[in-house]
This record gives sequence, C-alpha cells and structure tokens, in this order.
Amino acid sequence: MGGYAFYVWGSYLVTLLLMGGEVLLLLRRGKLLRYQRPGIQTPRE
Amino acid sequence: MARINWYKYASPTNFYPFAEKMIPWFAFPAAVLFIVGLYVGFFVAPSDFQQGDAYRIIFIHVPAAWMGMLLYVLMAIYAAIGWAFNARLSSMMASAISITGAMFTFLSLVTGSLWGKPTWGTWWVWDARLTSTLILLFLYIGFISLQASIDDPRRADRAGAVLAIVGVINVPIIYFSVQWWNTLHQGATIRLLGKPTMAPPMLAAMLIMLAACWLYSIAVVLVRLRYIIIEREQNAARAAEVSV
Repeated sequence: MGGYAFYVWGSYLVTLLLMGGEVLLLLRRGKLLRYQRPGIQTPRE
Repeated sequence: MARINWYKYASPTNFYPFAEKMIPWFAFPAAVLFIVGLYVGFFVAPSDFQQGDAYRIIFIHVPAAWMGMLLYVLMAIYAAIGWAFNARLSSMMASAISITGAMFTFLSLVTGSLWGKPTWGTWWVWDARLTSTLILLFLYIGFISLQASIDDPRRADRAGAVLAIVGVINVPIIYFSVQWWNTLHQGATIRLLGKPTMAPPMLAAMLIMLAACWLYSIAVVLVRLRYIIIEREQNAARAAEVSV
C-alpha cells in the first residue's frame, strides 16, 4: 500500500465495524422483539 | 393489465409483508456489489500518480458522504409528507432512515480524517466542507434524540419533521462549500454536466460501491421499518386496550 496501509485498511475496517455493527444491532432488535412479544409475526396478528 | 393500488402500501399493515418480500432483493445484490466494487477498486484500478494508494479510501469515503447527504434529503421528504398528510408510514420511514444516514455521515467523517492525515498532514481542519458535514451529523443526532425523547409517536414525528425540514438547508451548503469558500477539501470529481476527472476503472469502482451502499441502505432501512411498525402498532393496540 506504499506506506498508506494503516489509513487505507483503517478506513475499510471502520466501514466493516459500522456496517456490521448496524446489521448486528438490527438482528438483536429483531430477536428482542420476538422474545418480548412471542406470538407476534406481523402487525395484523 | 392488472393495476397496482399503490395507496394500499401507504398503510403500515399492508407495507409490512411487502417490505419483508423486498429485503432479499436489495440485501444480496448489495453484498455482491460490495465484493465487485472492492475487487475493482483494489485489483483493477491503478495507483494514483500523486497520492499513490492512499486515494483508495475514495471508494468508501465518497459513497459514504453522498449517502449521508442523500439520505438526509430523503428523510426530510418522508418526514414532511408524514407531517403534512398525517401519513404514519412516511414518518416511520423517516425514523428508519435517520440511523443509517447518521452512520454514513459518521463514516464519511472518519474515512475523510484517515485520508486527510497522509494527504493534508492533519486529521481535521475547520474548513467549510468538513464543518458542514459535522453539522449534518449533529442534525441526524438531534433528529434521533428528539424522537427518542418524546413518548407520543405522533408528537415525536412532528417535532422531528420540523428539525429535518429546517436542517435540509445544510445539504446544498455541504455540496457547494468547496465552490463558495476556499477549502482544503478538493472540488467535485464528478458533476452531472461535464466529464469526470477520474480514470475509468477508478470511477467504475466508486460507482459500484455507491450502488452497493444504496442497496445496503434500502435493505437495512426496510428491516428497521418493519421493527418500527411492530413496535408502534403493538404499542397503539396496547394503549387502546388500557383505555378500554
């Protein structure tokens, strides 16, 4: 990376952490919703 | 030809199963485009003659910055529609967009900082582009905090809409800041009218990554919107039960 590896890989690592973190938080929120309201599948039910 | 009744999908209850069906159509192409974009960006695009390999940060920095601005405009439009027409789904959509928009704005600031250090010699300068982007992040945080601090969802939506609409003025300021003021930040690489100043493989990688970020955003926003629908509809039903 011509001496810029820290900056370039650092940028993509932050990207991975933020996007991965967002997806993980969403999955956790879904799991929590299902746990708190076990019968709920859709708002109609 | 069968006509689709689009108004039907303005109802959260009808939109909920529709959103579920749409999510994989955006999530899987997003993953594929991220892989293709990174491959083109790292293995096909050549090194820059001035910045060497440091410029490769552009493949995430520019899409993140664009997404931060575009999602804010979209959030303000949905918030305004929700406020003006009392359309619950639009307000929920604005809430769902806000977190992803804030994430992309934060990402653009961090990657910009990581790009600034080797090229400008500093992590941060209070120049017009950087400062206006920081204000955009504060607007997102303000919108999210304001909505979270008000218990009644309708009131929270209205308050959030006012902030989102007022704050939208910051988006053209960010975009034109490099033209209106003398800044360290470089000018626009791509313009709607006019030839881009980048080599084709570099431009291709950046546009593929932008498309990936768009598809990712749509998928994530749809997932979050479904959770918001469940939470709000269930809370409304619970409140109705209590009042009866």
